Amino acid sequence: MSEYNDYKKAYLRERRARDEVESLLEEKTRALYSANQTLERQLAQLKNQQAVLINNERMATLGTLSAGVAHELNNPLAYVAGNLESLNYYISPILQLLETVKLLEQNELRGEQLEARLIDIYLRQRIDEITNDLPDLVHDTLHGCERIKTIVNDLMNFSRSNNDSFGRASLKSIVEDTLRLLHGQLKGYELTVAVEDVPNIYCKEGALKQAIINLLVNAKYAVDMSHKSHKSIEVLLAPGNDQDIILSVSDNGIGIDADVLPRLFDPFFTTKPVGEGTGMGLAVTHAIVKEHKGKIDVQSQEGVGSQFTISFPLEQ
Amino acid sequence: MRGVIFRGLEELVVEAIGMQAWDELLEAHAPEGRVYVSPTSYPDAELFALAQGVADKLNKPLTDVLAIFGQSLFGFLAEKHKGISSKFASFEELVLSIDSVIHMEVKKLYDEPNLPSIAAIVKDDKTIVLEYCSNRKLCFCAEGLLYGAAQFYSRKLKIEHPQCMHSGAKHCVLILHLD
Ligand SMILES: Nc1ncnc2c1ncn2[C@@H]1O[C@H](COP(=O)(O)OP(=O)(O)OP(=O)(O)O)[C@@H](O)[C@H]1O
Ligand SMILES: [Mg+2]
Repeated sequence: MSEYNDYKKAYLRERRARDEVESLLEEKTRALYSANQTLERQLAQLKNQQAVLINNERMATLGTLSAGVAHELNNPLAYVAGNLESLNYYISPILQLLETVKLLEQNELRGEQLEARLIDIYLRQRIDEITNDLPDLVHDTLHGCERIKTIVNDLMNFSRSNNDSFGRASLKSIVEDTLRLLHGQLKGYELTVAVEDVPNIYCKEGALKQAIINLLVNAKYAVDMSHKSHKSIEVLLAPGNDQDIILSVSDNGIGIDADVLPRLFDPFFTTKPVGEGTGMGLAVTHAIVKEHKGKIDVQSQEGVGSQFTISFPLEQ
Repeated sequence: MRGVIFRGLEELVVEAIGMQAWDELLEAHAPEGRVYVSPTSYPDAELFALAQGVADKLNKPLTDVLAIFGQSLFGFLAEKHKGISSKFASFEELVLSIDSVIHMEVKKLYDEPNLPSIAAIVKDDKTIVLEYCSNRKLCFCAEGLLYGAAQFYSRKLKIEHPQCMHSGAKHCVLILHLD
């Protein structure tokens, strides 16, 4: 019996040891759990802040764009206004003719009287000119209105896609829309665009436009800074290998110092003078590309130019 | 089922019928070489087989054994997790927090998919109605745990069990009458 008691004592001691180890383990697990919770909370917060940042940047871009867009609108607006003015002159002779037709129909004008009146209108008004101009005037005015409508639509599409969500879309039309949006600002640059048909991808349209605008605005700035006579910017969209789509924006601008390359995508990194750039353009572009599970790379040579290449994966 | 529950059964068996009895039960009902440690999960069937083994040894119905087990299990767990048991000032407070606090704590430690869901409604200051639902149907054990808890807080408790999953109900209803 005493042997049994000895055993039991030993057993109980071992059991206590096991219990202690287990409770230690539980303590650690609990600590781990709470650390994990904290991390998850912080991660969510960070994501939230990032979203806010992207949104702010979008607003800033909108500001940049609107200057160019105002310019863009001015042109069609000018000829629409001019055309309407001409049309205004033509109203009076046309109305006179219509009035004459009416009198004829009511039998109040005939024969010589009628003839005299028509000759009078013809001699005093520039009927040939009107006949010649009228179709073009109307056509051009309509065209100008269409142009204005497109510009306003593009801008509205861009600003409306503030909280845009993922959906299937064509990268080709996203690139083309974006280029249209920047049309005014890229005038005077030798712009090469080669966009091929690529499969639709799952993406946030507004965000991608934003990313492309950032790259194009940077390219434009780099080219301006280089003071070369030939200012060239190139936009390419093409299938990569079977798994991805490649979008690149290149320029023959000032290029990037190898020393700063590693910091290029850091938030607030900028080489622009104080007050000119926030340095958020590439950081936001990077975040957007990441959100699309893509990659962004840069190749650059000082004085020669830079190329930013984004690869988007096709469906996972 | 969590190892800690097996550990509670071991505690009870060794106390009540001895070390050798526990060993025999393991020989008879657990897989060769099985050890039970708290943070690991083991098949429910092993717990039921062991409990049935205890019932056979004591010549008592399984439901009685589960009730006794539940009762002793409460003391065992309360002792092991003083930090949690000390959170509750009264029996009532504890019962009302089973889902929101106690099972939450369990989830922190282990990812345990089979926790029962327990809804408690206070009818009056002497009556609480519990709805117990679990695919393990361990309502008798839950009754035992409740008795153990009452004991812990030095309260007199009587449980009515008018509706039971074992007779086809979707969930059990336990009516707790306190002194
Ligand atoms: N195409 C480019 N050629 C040369 N340098 C570039 C080019 N793109 C970006 N950089 C460099 O990277 C820096 C960061 O670019 P980013 O777009 O993030 O900010 P930013 O253009 O300076 O300011 P913001 O875009 O907020 O107006 C730029 O200041 C510039 O030095
Ligand atoms: Mg920029």
